[in-house]
Amino acid sequence: MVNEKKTDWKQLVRQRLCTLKLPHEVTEDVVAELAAHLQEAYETASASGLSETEATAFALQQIEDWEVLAAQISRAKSTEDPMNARTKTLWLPALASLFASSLFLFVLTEISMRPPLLVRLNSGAARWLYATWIIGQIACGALGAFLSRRVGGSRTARVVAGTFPAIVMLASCVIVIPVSALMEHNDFIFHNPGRLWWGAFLWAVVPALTLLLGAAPFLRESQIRNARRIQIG
Amino acid sequence: MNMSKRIRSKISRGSGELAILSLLAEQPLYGFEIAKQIGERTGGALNFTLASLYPLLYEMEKRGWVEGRWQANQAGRDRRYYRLTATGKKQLAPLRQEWLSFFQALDSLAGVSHG
Repeated sequence: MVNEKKTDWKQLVRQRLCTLKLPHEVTEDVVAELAAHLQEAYETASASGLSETEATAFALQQIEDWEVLAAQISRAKSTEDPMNARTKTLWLPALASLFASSLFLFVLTEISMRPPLLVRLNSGAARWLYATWIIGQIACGALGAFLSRRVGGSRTARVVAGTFPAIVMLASCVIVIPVSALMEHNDFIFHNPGRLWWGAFLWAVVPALTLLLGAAPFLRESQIRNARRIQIG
Repeated sequence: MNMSKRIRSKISRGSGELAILSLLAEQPLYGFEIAKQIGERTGGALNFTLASLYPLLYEMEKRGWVEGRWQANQAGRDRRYYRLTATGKKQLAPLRQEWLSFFQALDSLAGVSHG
């Protein structure tokens, strides 16, 4: 409830716009401007013969939902790119790395299904295909870390972006496979947990190492950025 | 948000931008004055509340169409006056044309006259 005797409009606006996500000076600027607007609306209503209570209510009826207003102002005043920093430095590079890794696996699987290789899968060809995929992970890790570094990603973001395919594989082994086995009442992996761990090692741990190997050159600060820092300094 | 709401929101936003730019093309004004003049000059057809005016003004300021600056009004109170920038002036003509084409298209479709 507003004290209609002597409304401190600035205090009122500041309290009701407490969810504004803006720097302090900008927030104070907005508070001052909106408070001045409300005060003038109140004075105009008072001058037209409304009581103080009615005039206050008249001024405040312009805002249905203060939280919505705060969100709209935050968005309008924000100078941040609609695509936030985390999306640019982490998720997009991570997805690029995952896409490259999956595409390569898909291509190798397609090749392995062709007759000349299909018959030799049990005679070691599968190992060669796996080894080829593992070596390919160096390029995938490099891609993720490179894309992240290019847009100013932190070292952690570059590591995660580079090793993202292995993280997804690990999640599959630890969560997706056991849960789907439970749902399908398939108790093979519960009787043979070693198989699951061996799978996790082959499809998550080993790829993680090679992805990291590819990402390694991009974990250092870029020379361009260092040069910029020196110039600014 | 459904389609009709989205269209309504776009129309009101577009008309709001045109109204503000047109007013500020005449003289710099502060928020309360902008809302008041738009209400008066459109006979109440366009009404800006505080909640609908400022997010739009701030958005236009971010785009560089208008520029706000604190200065005292006639009563000696500090108010944030908005003036049209060069970019804003450039926006005005195409925006007017866009709305003219929009109403002409409605005319030909629905036989609605607006003159």
